[in-house]
Amino acid sequence: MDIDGAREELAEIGARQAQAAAEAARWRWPWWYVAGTTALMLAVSVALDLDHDAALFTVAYCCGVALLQVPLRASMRVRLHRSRYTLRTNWPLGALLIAVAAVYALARVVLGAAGAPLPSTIAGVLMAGAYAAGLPAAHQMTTRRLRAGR
Amino acid sequence: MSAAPRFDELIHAPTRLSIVALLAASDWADFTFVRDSLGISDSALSKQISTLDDAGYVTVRKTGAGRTRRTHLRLSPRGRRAFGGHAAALQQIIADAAALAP
Repeated sequence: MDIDGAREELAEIGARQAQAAAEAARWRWPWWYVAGTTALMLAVSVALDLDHDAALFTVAYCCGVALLQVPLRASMRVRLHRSRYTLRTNWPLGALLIAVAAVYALARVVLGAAGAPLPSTIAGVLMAGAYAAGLPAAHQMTTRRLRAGR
Repeated sequence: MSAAPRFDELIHAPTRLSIVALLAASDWADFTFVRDSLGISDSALSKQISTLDDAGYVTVRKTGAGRTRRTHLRLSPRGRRAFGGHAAALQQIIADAAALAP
């Protein structure tokens, strides 16, 4: 093979890899996944106020989130190789989850200290709201990084 | 890519090179995505996938039934090594030519 042929093949490889990244970046979180996750967050939060058997509801939350992964996977046409999902690319989604947990913990402590009624429920509403509002922004930041190949 | 350079005749074919390059960037890809990206027919893609599958470069996984039936394609570890070696061989050709240039 000559040098021009090698260059053409490498260019084709680069173009196809960019095509896979562009397809992955085009994907959006489905509304039912966001609705399902926020509903589970709310359900666990309410249950913590109304029932003290937190373990049962934590298991229900984990199972629910795992079940949502099945149709979520079916909504994608391509999943990029794990080497593409580096911390540099994916940090906005990780930061969102940490922030959402912090919103719940902080609200729960403050409301509990103030003696508010149903502190976990109110904190859960704030947490679910933060998740639903923050996910599109975090996703946009991630897709921008995927498109840029960062 | 740090694989040892090894030119691969199977991957070198244009359509297969495009398929393998798409799959190399992916953990897995849907059959329809690969077909649409390459702009080829189902049967043409199936034929190329069979060749890559026979060589142990690609794994094919079918899920669902009827209208929900989907086919996922994934580059096997062997296919990933072969692709890495092929890309390294291409880079070496360019590097060798550049070294020989006056």
